[in-house]
Amino acid sequence: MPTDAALGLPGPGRRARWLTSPSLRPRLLAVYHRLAPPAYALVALILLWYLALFISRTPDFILPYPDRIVVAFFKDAGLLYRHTIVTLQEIGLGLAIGIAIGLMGALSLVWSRTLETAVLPWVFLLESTPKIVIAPLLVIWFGFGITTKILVVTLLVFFPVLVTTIAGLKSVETDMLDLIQSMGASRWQVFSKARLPTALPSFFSGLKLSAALATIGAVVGEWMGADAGLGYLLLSAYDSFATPLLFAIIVLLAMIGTLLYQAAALCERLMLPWHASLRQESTIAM
Amino acid sequence: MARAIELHDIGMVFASRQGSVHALDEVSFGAEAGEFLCIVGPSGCGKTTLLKILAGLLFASTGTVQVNGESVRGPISNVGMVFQSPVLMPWRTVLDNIMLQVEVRNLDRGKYRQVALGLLQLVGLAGFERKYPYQLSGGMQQRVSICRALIHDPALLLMDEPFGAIDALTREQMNLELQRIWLDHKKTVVFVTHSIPEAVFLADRVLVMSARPGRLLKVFDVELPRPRTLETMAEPRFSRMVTHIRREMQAHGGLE
Repeated sequence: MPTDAALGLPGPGRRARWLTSPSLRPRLLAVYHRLAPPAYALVALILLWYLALFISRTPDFILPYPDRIVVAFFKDAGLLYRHTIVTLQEIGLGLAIGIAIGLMGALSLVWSRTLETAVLPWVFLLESTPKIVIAPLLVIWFGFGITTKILVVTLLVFFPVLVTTIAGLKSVETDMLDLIQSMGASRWQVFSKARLPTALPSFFSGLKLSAALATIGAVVGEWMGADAGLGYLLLSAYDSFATPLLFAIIVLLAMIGTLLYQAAALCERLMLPWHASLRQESTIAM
Repeated sequence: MARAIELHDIGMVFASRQGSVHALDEVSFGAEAGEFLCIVGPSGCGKTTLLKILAGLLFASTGTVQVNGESVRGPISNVGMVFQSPVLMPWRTVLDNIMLQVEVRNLDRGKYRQVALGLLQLVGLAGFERKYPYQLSGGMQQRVSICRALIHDPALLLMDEPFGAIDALTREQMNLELQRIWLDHKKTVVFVTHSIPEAVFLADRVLVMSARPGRLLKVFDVELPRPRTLETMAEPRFSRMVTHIRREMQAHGGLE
Protein backbone atom coordinates (compact mmCIF):
# COMPACT_ATOMS: atom_id res chain seq x y z
CA MET A 1 0.00 0.00 0.00
CA PRO A 2 1.42 3.44 -0.87
CA THR A 3 2.22 5.60 2.12
CA ASP A 4 0.89 9.12 2.62
CA ALA A 5 4.27 10.60 1.87
CA ALA A 6 4.50 8.65 -1.38
CA LEU A 7 1.12 10.03 -2.37
CA GLY A 8 2.35 13.52 -1.66
CA LEU A 9 0.00 14.13 1.28
CA PRO A 10 0.94 16.98 3.62
CA GLY A 11 2.52 16.92 7.09
CA PRO A 12 0.03 15.24 9.46
CA GLY A 13 -0.01 12.10 7.35
CA ARG A 14 3.74 11.84 7.64
CA ARG A 15 3.67 12.19 11.38
CA ALA A 16 1.03 9.51 11.64
CA ARG A 17 3.19 7.21 9.58
CA TRP A 18 6.06 7.74 12.00
CA LEU A 19 3.83 6.88 14.98
CA THR A 20 2.34 3.79 13.42
CA SER A 21 5.59 2.62 11.84
CA PRO A 22 5.76 -1.13 12.40
CA SER A 23 9.40 -0.96 13.53
CA LEU A 24 8.67 1.60 16.24
CA ARG A 25 6.86 -0.68 18.69
CA PRO A 26 9.66 -3.22 19.14
CA ARG A 27 12.15 -0.39 19.46
CA LEU A 28 10.13 1.34 22.17
CA LEU A 29 9.78 -2.02 23.87
CA ALA A 30 13.54 -2.50 23.78
CA VAL A 31 14.09 0.93 25.33
CA TYR A 32 11.55 0.09 28.02
CA HIS A 33 13.30 -3.20 28.82
CA ARG A 34 16.60 -1.39 29.09
CA LEU A 35 15.42 1.52 31.26
CA ALA A 36 12.75 -0.11 33.42
CA PRO A 37 14.90 -2.29 35.74
CA PRO A 38 17.25 0.52 36.87
CA ALA A 39 14.22 2.82 37.30
CA TYR A 40 12.51 0.24 39.50
CA ALA A 41 15.73 -0.17 41.49
CA LEU A 42 15.82 3.59 42.13
CA VAL A 43 12.19 3.64 43.25
CA ALA A 44 12.88 0.68 45.55
CA LEU A 45 15.89 2.45 47.05
CA ILE A 46 13.89 5.62 47.73
CA LEU A 47 11.07 3.62 49.34
CA LEU A 48 13.62 1.80 51.48
CA TRP A 49 15.11 5.16 52.41
CA TYR A 50 11.72 6.46 53.59
CA LEU A 51 10.99 3.23 55.43
CA ALA A 52 14.34 3.19 57.23
CA LEU A 53 14.01 6.83 58.29
CA PHE A 54 10.42 6.31 59.38
CA ILE A 55 11.35 3.33 61.58
CA SER A 56 14.63 4.66 62.97
CA ARG A 57 13.48 8.29 63.41
CA THR A 58 16.91 9.52 62.33
CA PRO A 59 17.22 13.31 62.65
CA ASP A 60 17.18 15.48 59.56
CA PHE A 61 20.79 16.66 59.83
CA ILE A 62 22.11 13.10 59.64
CA LEU A 63 19.93 11.81 56.82
CA PRO A 64 17.06 13.89 55.43
CA TYR A 65 14.00 12.54 53.68
CA PRO A 66 14.43 12.53 49.87
CA ASP A 67 11.71 15.16 49.41
CA ARG A 68 13.67 17.55 51.70
CA ILE A 69 16.56 17.29 49.22
CA VAL A 70 14.25 18.19 46.36
CA VAL A 71 12.98 21.15 48.39
CA ALA A 72 16.59 22.24 49.05
CA PHE A 73 17.17 22.20 45.31
CA PHE A 74 14.37 24.68 44.69
CA LYS A 75 14.79 26.80 47.82
CA ASP A 76 18.52 27.37 47.17
CA ALA A 77 18.28 27.33 43.39
CA GLY A 78 19.89 30.77 43.00
CA LEU A 79 22.74 29.91 45.36
CA LEU A 80 23.35 26.55 43.70
CA TYR A 81 23.27 28.13 40.25
CA ARG A 82 25.82 30.81 41.15
CA HIS A 83 28.31 28.32 42.60
CA THR A 84 27.72 25.77 39.86
CA ILE A 85 28.78 28.35 37.27
CA VAL A 86 32.06 28.94 39.13
CA THR A 87 32.84 25.23 39.37
CA LEU A 88 31.90 24.66 35.74
CA GLN A 89 34.32 27.42 34.71
CA GLU A 90 37.13 25.76 36.65
CA ILE A 91 36.30 22.37 35.16
CA GLY A 92 35.95 23.71 31.62
CA LEU A 93 39.19 25.68 31.57
CA GLY A 94 41.11 22.98 33.46
CA LEU A 95 39.88 20.32 31.04
CA ALA A 96 40.73 22.40 27.99
CA ILE A 97 44.25 23.17 29.19
CA GLY A 98 44.85 19.64 30.50
CA ILE A 99 43.68 17.99 27.28
CA ALA A 100 45.75 20.38 25.16
CA ILE A 101 48.92 19.80 27.21
CA GLY A 102 48.33 16.05 27.37
CA LEU A 103 47.76 15.81 23.64
CA MET A 104 50.73 17.98 22.67
CA GLY A 105 52.95 16.19 25.19
CA ALA A 106 51.99 12.80 23.75
CA LEU A 107 52.58 13.93 20.17
CA SER A 108 56.01 15.40 20.89
CA LEU A 109 57.08 12.46 23.07
CA VAL A 110 56.29 9.96 20.33
CA TRP A 111 57.63 12.18 17.55
CA SER A 112 61.03 12.87 19.11
CA ARG A 113 63.19 9.87 19.88
CA THR A 114 65.31 11.93 22.32
CA LEU A 115 62.31 13.11 24.32
CA GLU A 116 60.90 9.62 24.33
CA THR A 117 64.00 8.01 25.83
CA ALA A 118 64.59 10.81 28.34
CA VAL A 119 61.06 11.70 29.45
CA LEU A 120 58.81 8.70 28.82
CA PRO A 121 60.23 6.63 31.74
CA TRP A 122 59.37 9.51 34.07
CA VAL A 123 55.87 9.75 32.68
CA PHE A 124 55.21 6.08 33.38
CA LEU A 125 56.79 6.36 36.84
CA LEU A 126 54.70 9.41 37.77
CA GLU A 127 51.54 7.91 36.31
CA SER A 128 50.91 5.82 39.42
CA THR A 129 51.58 8.61 41.93
CA PRO A 130 48.69 10.57 43.49
CA LYS A 131 48.81 13.86 41.59
CA ILE A 132 46.36 15.54 43.98
CA VAL A 133 49.05 15.89 46.69
CA ILE A 134 50.60 18.71 44.67
CA ALA A 135 47.48 20.82 45.23
CA PRO A 136 48.77 22.60 48.42
CA LEU A 137 51.89 23.58 46.56
CA LEU A 138 49.77 25.14 43.83
CA VAL A 139 47.98 27.22 46.49
CA ILE A 140 51.35 28.53 47.73
CA TRP A 141 52.37 29.45 44.19
CA PHE A 142 49.10 30.76 42.78
CA GLY A 143 47.04 31.81 45.79
CA PHE A 144 43.36 31.22 46.49
CA GLY A 145 42.03 32.49 43.17
CA ILE A 146 40.49 30.56 40.31
CA THR A 147 43.95 29.91 38.76
CA THR A 148 44.78 27.34 41.42
CA LYS A 149 41.51 25.47 40.90
CA ILE A 150 42.02 25.39 37.15
CA LEU A 151 45.53 24.08 37.62
CA VAL A 152 44.40 21.33 40.00
CA VAL A 153 41.90 20.20 37.36
CA THR A 154 44.64 20.44 34.70
CA LEU A 155 46.97 18.38 36.87
CA LEU A 156 44.47 15.54 37.23
CA VAL A 157 43.22 15.67 33.66
CA PHE A 158 46.43 15.85 31.70
CA PHE A 159 47.98 12.56 32.80
CA PRO A 160 45.31 10.16 31.56
CA VAL A 161 45.19 11.98 28.22
CA LEU A 162 48.98 11.92 27.93
CA VAL A 163 49.40 8.25 28.83
CA THR A 164 46.51 6.85 26.79
CA THR A 165 47.42 8.92 23.74
CA ILE A 166 51.05 7.76 23.92
CA ALA A 167 49.85 4.15 24.19
CA GLY A 168 47.55 4.71 21.21
CA LEU A 169 50.24 6.32 19.07
CA LYS A 170 52.55 3.40 19.75
CA SER A 171 49.94 0.73 19.09
CA VAL A 172 50.22 0.72 15.30
CA GLU A 173 50.75 -2.82 14.01
CA THR A 174 54.10 -3.73 12.48
CA ASP A 175 52.35 -4.84 9.30
CA MET A 176 50.69 -1.44 9.00
CA LEU A 177 54.04 0.30 9.38
CA ASP A 178 55.66 -2.05 6.85
CA LEU A 179 52.79 -1.45 4.46
CA ILE A 180 52.95 2.32 4.58
CA GLN A 181 56.76 2.26 4.35
CA SER A 182 56.48 0.13 1.22
CA MET A 183 54.48 3.02 -0.23
CA GLY A 184 57.47 5.26 0.35
CA ALA A 185 55.77 7.22 3.13
CA SER A 186 57.57 10.15 4.74
CA ARG A 187 57.82 10.33 8.51
CA TRP A 188 55.00 12.83 8.59
CA GLN A 189 52.79 10.60 6.42
CA VAL A 190 53.38 7.63 8.72
CA PHE A 191 52.37 9.87 11.59
CA SER A 192 49.35 11.55 10.08
CA LYS A 193 47.91 8.64 8.12
CA ALA A 194 48.66 5.70 10.41
CA ARG A 195 49.67 6.70 13.95
CA LEU A 196 47.28 9.55 14.62
CA PRO A 197 44.05 7.82 13.55
CA THR A 198 45.13 4.63 15.31
CA ALA A 199 45.58 6.61 18.53
CA LEU A 200 42.11 8.19 18.52
CA PRO A 201 40.25 5.39 20.35
CA SER A 202 42.86 5.41 23.13
CA PHE A 203 42.76 9.19 23.27
CA PHE A 204 39.02 9.06 23.80
CA SER A 205 39.27 6.52 26.62
CA GLY A 206 41.75 8.94 28.23
CA LEU A 207 39.29 11.74 27.65
CA LYS A 208 36.52 9.82 29.39
CA LEU A 209 38.80 9.16 32.37
CA SER A 210 39.66 12.86 32.44
CA ALA A 211 36.03 13.88 32.37
CA ALA A 212 35.48 11.86 35.52
CA LEU A 213 38.58 13.30 37.24
CA ALA A 214 37.92 16.94 36.34
CA THR A 215 35.07 17.30 38.86
CA ILE A 216 37.24 15.83 41.63
CA GLY A 217 39.98 18.32 40.76
CA ALA A 218 37.67 21.32 40.93
CA VAL A 219 36.13 20.29 44.26
CA VAL A 220 39.47 19.49 45.91
CA GLY A 221 40.89 22.75 44.56
CA GLU A 222 38.04 24.63 46.21
CA TRP A 223 38.55 22.71 49.46
CA MET A 224 42.07 24.11 49.61
CA GLY A 225 40.52 27.55 50.11
CA ALA A 226 37.90 29.38 48.08
CA ASP A 227 34.98 31.76 48.37
CA ALA A 228 32.86 30.31 45.59
CA GLY A 229 32.11 27.05 43.80
CA LEU A 230 30.24 23.87 44.68
CA GLY A 231 33.20 22.50 46.67
CA TYR A 232 33.19 25.65 48.78
CA LEU A 233 29.41 25.44 49.17
CA LEU A 234 29.73 21.78 50.16
CA LEU A 235 32.06 22.73 53.03
CA SER A 236 29.86 25.58 54.24
CA ALA A 237 26.76 23.36 54.12
CA TYR A 238 28.73 20.84 56.15
CA ASP A 239 29.78 23.51 58.66
CA SER A 240 26.19 24.52 59.29
CA PHE A 241 24.79 20.96 59.23
CA ALA A 242 22.58 21.91 56.26
CA THR A 243 22.39 18.26 55.26
CA PRO A 244 19.59 18.56 52.66
CA LEU A 245 21.65 21.22 50.86
CA LEU A 246 24.70 18.96 51.17
CA PHE A 247 22.78 16.20 49.42
CA ALA A 248 21.60 18.61 46.73
CA ILE A 249 25.22 19.59 46.04
CA ILE A 250 26.31 15.94 45.92
CA VAL A 251 23.57 15.16 43.40
CA LEU A 252 24.56 18.21 41.35
CA LEU A 253 28.25 17.22 41.28
CA ALA A 254 27.32 13.67 40.34
CA MET A 255 25.23 15.06 37.49
CA ILE A 256 28.10 17.27 36.28
CA GLY A 257 30.48 14.29 36.31
CA THR A 258 28.03 12.08 34.43
CA LEU A 259 27.25 14.75 31.86
CA LEU A 260 30.94 15.37 31.18
CA TYR A 261 31.55 11.66 30.73
CA GLN A 262 28.55 11.29 28.43
CA ALA A 263 29.67 14.31 26.41
CA ALA A 264 33.08 12.69 25.89
CA ALA A 265 31.39 9.40 24.96
CA LEU A 266 29.18 11.25 22.47
CA CYS A 267 32.20 12.91 20.84
CA GLU A 268 33.76 9.47 20.57
CA ARG A 269 30.69 8.01 18.88
CA LEU A 270 30.47 10.90 16.44
CA MET A 271 34.15 10.93 15.54
CA LEU A 272 34.87 7.19 15.48
CA PRO A 273 31.83 5.52 13.95
CA TRP A 274 34.17 2.79 12.70
CA HIS A 275 35.54 1.92 16.13
CA ALA A 276 35.07 -1.74 17.07
CA SER A 277 33.43 -1.18 20.45
CA LEU A 278 30.86 1.21 18.99
CA ARG A 279 29.67 -0.32 15.76
CA GLN A 280 26.33 -2.00 15.39
CA GLU A 281 25.97 -2.81 11.73
CA SER A 282 26.52 -6.48 11.08
CA THR A 283 29.04 -8.00 8.73
CA ILE A 284 27.97 -8.82 5.21
CA ALA A 285 28.31 -12.55 4.79
CA MET A 286 30.22 -13.73 1.76
CA MET B 1 68.73 -6.61 -19.06
CA ALA B 2 68.98 -7.08 -15.32
CA ARG B 3 66.76 -9.66 -13.64
CA ALA B 4 63.66 -8.45 -11.84
CA ILE B 5 65.03 -9.65 -8.52
CA GLU B 6 68.34 -11.14 -7.53
CA LEU B 7 69.25 -12.30 -4.03
CA HIS B 8 72.76 -13.46 -3.35
CA ASP B 9 73.96 -15.30 -0.24
CA ILE B 10 71.39 -13.75 2.06
CA GLY B 11 71.99 -14.46 5.72
CA MET B 12 70.07 -13.06 8.66
CA VAL B 13 70.89 -13.18 12.34
CA PHE B 14 68.59 -11.56 14.90
CA ALA B 15 69.95 -10.58 18.28
CA SER B 16 67.61 -11.46 21.11
CA ARG B 17 67.80 -11.78 24.88
CA GLN B 18 68.33 -15.53 24.64
CA GLY B 19 71.22 -15.00 22.25
CA SER B 20 71.27 -14.66 18.52
CA VAL B 21 68.75 -16.36 16.27
CA HIS B 22 69.97 -17.56 12.92
CA ALA B 23 66.97 -16.98 10.67
CA LEU B 24 68.38 -17.27 7.14
CA ASP B 25 71.49 -18.88 5.79
CA GLU B 26 73.01 -18.43 2.32
CA VAL B 27 69.78 -17.96 0.43
CA SER B 28 70.28 -17.15 -3.24
CA PHE B 29 67.67 -16.96 -5.95
CA GLY B 30 66.40 -14.67 -8.65
CA ALA B 31 63.39 -14.10 -10.84
CA GLU B 32 62.80 -12.84 -14.36
CA ALA B 33 60.30 -10.08 -14.93
CA GLY B 34 56.78 -11.45 -14.96
CA GLU B 35 57.69 -14.66 -13.18
CA PHE B 36 55.52 -16.13 -10.42
CA LEU B 37 57.62 -17.53 -7.58
CA CYS B 38 56.21 -19.37 -4.59
CA ILE B 39 58.23 -19.95 -1.45
CA VAL B 40 57.09 -22.84 0.75
CA GLY B 41 58.59 -23.90 4.02
CA PRO B 42 57.74 -24.78 7.61
CA SER B 43 56.72 -22.14 10.15
CA GLY B 44 59.57 -20.01 11.33
CA CYS B 45 61.81 -20.76 8.39
CA GLY B 46 62.33 -17.10 7.70
CA LYS B 47 59.99 -16.76 4.72
CA THR B 48 58.51 -13.52 5.99
CA THR B 49 61.96 -12.19 6.88
CA LEU B 50 63.10 -12.97 3.36
CA LEU B 51 60.16 -11.06 1.92
CA LYS B 52 60.87 -8.05 4.12
CA ILE B 53 64.53 -8.08 3.10
CA LEU B 54 63.41 -8.12 -0.52
CA ALA B 55 61.12 -5.16 0.14
CA GLY B 56 63.94 -3.25 1.79
CA LEU B 57 62.09 -3.14 5.10
CA LEU B 58 64.77 -5.22 6.81
CA PHE B 59 68.49 -5.34 6.15
CA ALA B 60 70.16 -8.70 5.69
CA SER B 61 73.15 -9.44 7.92
CA THR B 62 75.06 -10.72 4.90
CA GLY B 63 74.55 -10.89 1.17
CA THR B 64 73.16 -8.57 -1.46
CA VAL B 65 69.70 -7.85 -2.85
CA GLN B 66 69.02 -6.28 -6.22
CA VAL B 67 65.70 -5.27 -7.69
CA ASN B 68 65.76 -4.36 -11.38
CA GLY B 69 69.53 -4.25 -11.21
CA GLU B 70 69.64 -1.76 -8.35
CA SER B 71 70.92 -2.58 -4.90
CA VAL B 72 68.25 -2.38 -2.21
CA ARG B 73 69.25 0.08 0.52
CA GLY B 74 65.86 1.11 1.89
CA PRO B 75 62.18 0.45 1.26
CA ILE B 76 61.85 -0.15 -2.48
CA SER B 77 59.17 1.88 -4.19
CA ASN B 78 57.98 -0.05 -7.23
CA VAL B 79 56.29 -2.71 -5.13
CA GLY B 80 52.90 -3.80 -3.85
CA MET B 81 52.63 -5.76 -0.62
CA VAL B 82 49.94 -8.09 0.69
CA PHE B 83 50.13 -9.53 4.20
CA GLN B 84 48.44 -12.45 5.91
CA SER B 85 45.98 -10.08 7.53
CA PRO B 86 44.38 -7.48 5.25
CA VAL B 87 45.90 -4.57 7.27
CA LEU B 88 43.09 -2.25 6.28
CA MET B 89 42.56 1.01 8.12
CA PRO B 90 39.25 0.65 9.95
CA TRP B 91 38.54 4.39 9.70
CA ARG B 92 38.75 4.39 5.90
CA THR B 93 36.19 3.12 3.45
CA VAL B 94 37.11 0.37 1.00
CA LEU B 95 37.86 2.94 -1.69
CA ASP B 96 39.88 5.18 0.64
CA ASN B 97 41.90 2.19 1.82
CA ILE B 98 42.91 1.49 -1.77
CA MET B 99 43.54 5.19 -2.34
CA LEU B 100 46.00 5.28 0.58
CA GLN B 101 48.61 3.97 -1.86
CA VAL B 102 47.80 6.85 -4.22
CA GLU B 103 47.77 9.50 -1.49
CA VAL B 104 51.09 8.48 0.03
CA ARG B 105 52.71 8.38 -3.40
CA ASN B 106 51.21 11.74 -4.36
CA LEU B 107 49.64 10.40 -7.54
CA ASP B 108 46.71 11.94 -9.40
CA ARG B 109 43.68 11.11 -7.25
CA GLY B 110 41.03 11.71 -9.85
CA LYS B 111 42.67 9.40 -12.35
CA TYR B 112 43.45 6.63 -9.85
CA ARG B 113 39.95 6.74 -8.38
CA GLN B 114 38.79 5.25 -11.66
CA VAL B 115 41.58 2.66 -11.53
CA ALA B 116 40.52 1.72 -8.00
CA LEU B 117 36.90 1.26 -9.05
CA GLY B 118 38.05 -0.87 -11.97
CA LEU B 119 40.14 -3.06 -9.66
CA LEU B 120 37.20 -3.49 -7.28
CA GLN B 121 35.18 -4.66 -10.25
CA LEU B 122 37.98 -7.05 -11.17
CA VAL B 123 37.92 -8.73 -7.75
CA GLY B 124 34.12 -8.83 -7.63
CA LEU B 125 33.63 -6.00 -5.15
CA ALA B 126 31.91 -3.46 -7.39
CA GLY B 127 29.48 -1.42 -5.32
CA PHE B 128 31.40 -1.96 -2.08
CA GLU B 129 33.59 1.14 -2.36
CA ARG B 130 31.75 3.05 0.35
CA LYS B 131 31.68 0.17 2.86
CA TYR B 132 33.97 0.04 5.85
CA PRO B 133 36.30 -2.93 6.42
CA TYR B 134 34.27 -4.24 9.38
CA GLN B 135 31.28 -4.60 7.07
CA LEU B 136 33.22 -7.07 4.90
CA SER B 137 34.14 -10.72 5.38
CA GLY B 138 37.78 -11.74 5.72
CA GLY B 139 37.98 -12.86 2.10
CA MET B 140 36.52 -9.59 0.86
CA GLN B 141 38.92 -7.59 3.01
CA GLN B 142 41.87 -9.48 1.56
CA ARG B 143 40.62 -8.68 -1.97
CA VAL B 144 40.61 -5.01 -1.04
CA SER B 145 44.20 -5.28 0.16
CA ILE B 146 45.13 -6.89 -3.17
CA CYS B 147 43.54 -3.97 -5.02
CA ARG B 148 45.59 -1.63 -2.83
CA ALA B 149 48.76 -3.52 -3.78
CA LEU B 150 47.93 -3.29 -7.49
CA ILE B 151 46.59 0.23 -7.96
CA HIS B 152 49.92 1.94 -8.71
CA ASP B 153 50.75 -0.84 -11.18
CA PRO B 154 53.96 -1.98 -9.45
CA ALA B 155 56.39 -4.25 -11.28
CA LEU B 156 56.79 -6.44 -8.20
CA LEU B 157 54.13 -7.98 -5.97
CA LEU B 158 55.19 -9.42 -2.61
CA MET B 159 52.59 -11.60 -0.91
CA ASP B 160 53.09 -13.04 2.56
CA GLU B 161 50.65 -15.94 3.09
CA PRO B 162 47.83 -13.72 1.84
CA PHE B 163 45.20 -16.45 1.94
CA GLY B 164 46.44 -18.20 5.07
CA ALA B 165 43.56 -16.99 7.22
CA ILE B 166 40.84 -17.68 4.67
CA ASP B 167 38.57 -20.72 4.54
CA ALA B 168 39.41 -23.44 2.01
CA LEU B 169 36.58 -22.71 -0.44
CA THR B 170 37.21 -18.98 -0.62
CA ARG B 171 40.92 -19.71 -0.84
CA GLU B 172 40.54 -21.73 -4.06
CA GLN B 173 38.47 -18.89 -5.46
CA MET B 174 41.13 -16.35 -4.51
CA ASN B 175 43.86 -18.46 -6.11
CA LEU B 176 41.92 -18.51 -9.37
CA GLU B 177 41.40 -14.75 -9.18
CA LEU B 178 45.03 -14.08 -8.40
CA GLN B 179 46.10 -16.16 -11.39
CA ARG B 180 43.69 -14.28 -13.62
CA ILE B 181 44.99 -10.91 -12.39
CA TRP B 182 48.57 -12.06 -12.86
CA LEU B 183 47.88 -13.32 -16.39
CA ASP B 184 46.36 -9.91 -17.19
CA HIS B 185 49.08 -7.79 -15.64
CA LYS B 186 52.17 -10.03 -15.85
CA LYS B 187 53.88 -8.78 -12.72
CA THR B 188 56.78 -10.41 -10.96
CA VAL B 189 55.25 -12.12 -7.92
CA VAL B 190 56.93 -13.56 -4.86
CA PHE B 191 54.29 -15.46 -2.93
CA VAL B 192 55.00 -17.03 0.45
CA THR B 193 52.75 -19.87 1.56
CA HIS B 194 52.38 -22.85 3.89
CA SER B 195 50.36 -24.79 1.40
CA ILE B 196 52.17 -26.92 -1.16
CA PRO B 197 49.10 -27.37 -3.43
CA GLU B 198 48.59 -23.61 -3.43
CA ALA B 199 52.23 -23.09 -4.39
CA VAL B 200 52.06 -25.62 -7.21
CA PHE B 201 48.79 -24.19 -8.46
CA LEU B 202 50.10 -20.63 -8.66
CA ALA B 203 53.81 -20.78 -9.33
CA ASP B 204 56.11 -20.93 -12.30
CA ARG B 205 58.74 -22.06 -9.84
CA VAL B 206 58.40 -23.34 -6.28
CA LEU B 207 61.24 -22.60 -3.86
CA VAL B 208 61.38 -25.02 -0.94
CA MET B 209 62.98 -23.83 2.28
CA SER B 210 64.21 -25.71 5.33
CA ALA B 211 63.42 -25.07 8.97
CA ARG B 212 65.55 -22.58 10.89
CA PRO B 213 68.02 -21.47 9.84
CA GLY B 214 66.12 -21.08 6.59
CA ARG B 215 68.03 -22.46 3.63
CA LEU B 216 66.91 -22.89 0.08
CA LEU B 217 66.58 -26.69 -0.31
CA LYS B 218 65.40 -27.05 -3.86
CA VAL B 219 63.69 -25.25 -6.71
CA PHE B 220 60.92 -26.95 -8.68
CA ASP B 221 59.78 -25.80 -12.10
CA VAL B 222 56.04 -26.16 -12.48
CA GLU B 223 55.26 -26.80 -16.12
CA LEU B 224 51.48 -27.05 -15.92
CA PRO B 225 49.79 -25.07 -18.70
CA ARG B 226 47.95 -21.84 -17.92
CA PRO B 227 45.36 -20.84 -17.15
CA ARG B 228 45.18 -23.52 -14.48
CA THR B 229 41.74 -24.44 -13.26
CA LEU B 230 40.34 -26.34 -10.31
CA GLU B 231 40.44 -29.41 -12.58
CA THR B 232 44.20 -28.93 -12.87
CA MET B 233 44.42 -29.86 -9.20
CA ALA B 234 42.85 -33.22 -9.97
CA GLU B 235 45.43 -34.06 -12.64
CA PRO B 236 48.03 -36.75 -11.85
CA ARG B 237 50.97 -34.50 -12.69
CA PHE B 238 49.67 -31.91 -10.25
CA SER B 239 49.52 -34.39 -7.39
CA ARG B 240 52.87 -35.89 -8.44
CA MET B 241 54.43 -32.46 -8.10
CA VAL B 242 52.81 -31.87 -4.71
CA THR B 243 54.00 -35.27 -3.45
CA HIS B 244 57.47 -34.55 -4.75
CA ILE B 245 57.75 -31.29 -2.87
CA ARG B 246 56.26 -32.77 0.29
CA ARG B 247 58.86 -35.58 0.21
CA GLU B 248 61.60 -33.02 -0.19
CA MET B 249 60.37 -31.16 2.87
CA GLN B 250 59.90 -34.32 4.93
CA ALA B 251 63.38 -35.49 4.06
CA HIS B 252 64.65 -32.41 5.83
CA GLY B 253 62.32 -32.81 8.78
CA GLY B 254 60.61 -29.61 7.89
CA LEU B 255 56.93 -30.47 7.78
CA GLU B 256 54.67 -29.28 10.54
